[in-house]
Amino acid sequence: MQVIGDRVNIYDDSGKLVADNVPVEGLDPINNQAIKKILYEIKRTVIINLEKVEKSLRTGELGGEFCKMPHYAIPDIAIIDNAERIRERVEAFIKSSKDDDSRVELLNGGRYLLIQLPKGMIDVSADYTVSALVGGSATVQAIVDVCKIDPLKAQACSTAIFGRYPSTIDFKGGAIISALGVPLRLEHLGYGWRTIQSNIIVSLANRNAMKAAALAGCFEMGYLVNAGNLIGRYRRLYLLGFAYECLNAENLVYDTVRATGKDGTTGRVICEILDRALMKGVIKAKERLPSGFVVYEPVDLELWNAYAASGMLAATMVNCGAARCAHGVSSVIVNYNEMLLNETALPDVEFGRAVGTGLLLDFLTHALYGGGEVGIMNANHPNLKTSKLFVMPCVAAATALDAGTLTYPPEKTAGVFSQVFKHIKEFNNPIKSVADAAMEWEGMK
Amino acid sequence: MEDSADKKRYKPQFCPGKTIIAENRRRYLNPDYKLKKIRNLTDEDIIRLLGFRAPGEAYKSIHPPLEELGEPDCPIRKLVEPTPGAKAGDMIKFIQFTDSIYFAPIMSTIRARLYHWRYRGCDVGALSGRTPLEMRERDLEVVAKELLETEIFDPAVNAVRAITVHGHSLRLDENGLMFDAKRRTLYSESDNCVYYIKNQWGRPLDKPINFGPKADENELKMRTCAYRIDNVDFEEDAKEFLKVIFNVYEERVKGGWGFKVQK
Repeated sequence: MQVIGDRVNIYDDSGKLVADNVPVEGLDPINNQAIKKILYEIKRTVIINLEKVEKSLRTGELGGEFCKMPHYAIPDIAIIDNAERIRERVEAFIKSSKDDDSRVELLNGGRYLLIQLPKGMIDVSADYTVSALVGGSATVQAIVDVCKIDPLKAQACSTAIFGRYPSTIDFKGGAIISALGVPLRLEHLGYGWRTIQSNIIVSLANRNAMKAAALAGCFEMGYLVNAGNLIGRYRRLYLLGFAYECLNAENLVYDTVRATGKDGTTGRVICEILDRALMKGVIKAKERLPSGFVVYEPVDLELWNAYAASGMLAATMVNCGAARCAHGVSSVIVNYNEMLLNETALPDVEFGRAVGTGLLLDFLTHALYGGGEVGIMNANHPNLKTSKLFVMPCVAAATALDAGTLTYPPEKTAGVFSQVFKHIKEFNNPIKSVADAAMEWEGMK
Repeated sequence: MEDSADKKRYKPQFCPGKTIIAENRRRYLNPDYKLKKIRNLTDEDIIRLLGFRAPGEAYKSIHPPLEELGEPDCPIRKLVEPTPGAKAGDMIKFIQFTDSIYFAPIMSTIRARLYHWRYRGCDVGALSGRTPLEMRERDLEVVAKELLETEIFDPAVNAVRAITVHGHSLRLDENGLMFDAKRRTLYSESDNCVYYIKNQWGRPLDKPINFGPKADENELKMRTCAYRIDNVDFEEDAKEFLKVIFNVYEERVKGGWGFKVQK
């Protein structure tokens, strides 16, 4: 594998230097323990909504809308009251040894059951559905045991947790909450890490825009490795893009927002980015046209792309942040790139892919062609799959800056995720953790 | 990183070209240029034209004011000042323009770029024949006033239409007005003025809004930022524009192909 020699200084979400002279090679997920930890924790985690299970079983409304089966109902079932016993039983099923890293906990006063599988199970499994399947099965059996369910009604417990699966390809109407979507819904092979919704990322980052962008970047990097995009000729493009856009390398994103946050617009952000790119020699004037218009060209194409992508995130933060509204993100993506290339003749983010993604995102989030809302978008969407790495951080940051205009806000659809990883430093401060891990990787070489 | 004003190297240039069309584009897009005011509309006129609330009625809110709500701990929120509408928790509302191909001062592509050069907290739709602009309601009213009162709006060839927008590519009628299936505008021969007799939704207004005289074609030809073969032909600026476009595409292809690594 070729080695990318670039080094960057990484600043945290409040513009403080956290690591200097970081090798970008160390930001590759296969070299970076912090990204590995983030991905591993997400992969092995599933949450069962016990409150929903209890309600479904009490009413016989199993498998979501239009499925009412009163004859399957168990009106007196007490799942929440027995939550602790169910948790203990599930733990007994899942724990492979006394000191493995599995974790089974109750959240929100027993309304949710958090299950994290031990490493051994993840290693043995062919894909990431193991968490949902093992966690779901363990909970079904625990409920049957603890609540002493009649054999003829046990199937209802399974349906209450797994929903209509396998009649449907996902757990429709079930009580399984997983950050990752099911493999049968992947747009292409290797898209597992792209199934994480913007709302979930924002909940994991506790509504911090920079951290949300960083986590979105970590998941996209996981995907790039998985799908074979982080090798060969595009390796430097994505490593630099990740460092600058998602990890605030050279304080580019934060400092641009600081300079334009009070009264800036998307256009002013473009001027800031171009100013900085000129100062650092990333771009240079190529030709002056008779009208006085100067055509610019990148000195370093991949580094320029990283600068442009950082500007796109900064413009999102300034414009969507000013309105405290996430919906404008598609408009920023389209017009930032459009204005940038008309302004300078430089290539736009990811060489045209970002602008195309933004255009369809605009249609889909503004009820032109159906679609959905910014918060429930993920990079596995037929639209957002078009751009790798660079767009999803903008979508996540915009969602984080929303003050309450979304119909499906993070607190409503994914609020529970804000509690799950709150004691893990990689989720609390992804920028610093990833930077430190890159330095450690270099020290170990 | 230094960002003091005297060290700034980059001055925005907006677009290439030497013709009056390019000049107009640069003027309209430049946020430091104050758009020339050519008519007076009252705040009440704007509210009635938008049709979301009655004059004097309170703004509807979608969430409590930010002060009451309490913002999450995010350094970016501390840096980015919310707009007045965002601070108050206003609902998101919109104004939508349709711009005729017959020498309208401004049209879709330039309009979207103008919004993003000049205004904060905007959400512009990307469509060919119409341009919606979504913002917090009180911010929208301020922006709409500037858009409607200045040189970039002519009541005959630019129109405010929330629905039934069709008309931008049709021939103008006998009075020089753009076709409107909902007949929102009325040309008065007696004073050569264009009146909005319906709001942007096509609902009749109790009192017409006078948008003043429509510009004659020669004046529009000087104000427009669209190239046309019967006015300023694109060919006159094509050399410069094509240089820009070729440069963009050349670099896009190099980047997409991973050119440098291969070399």
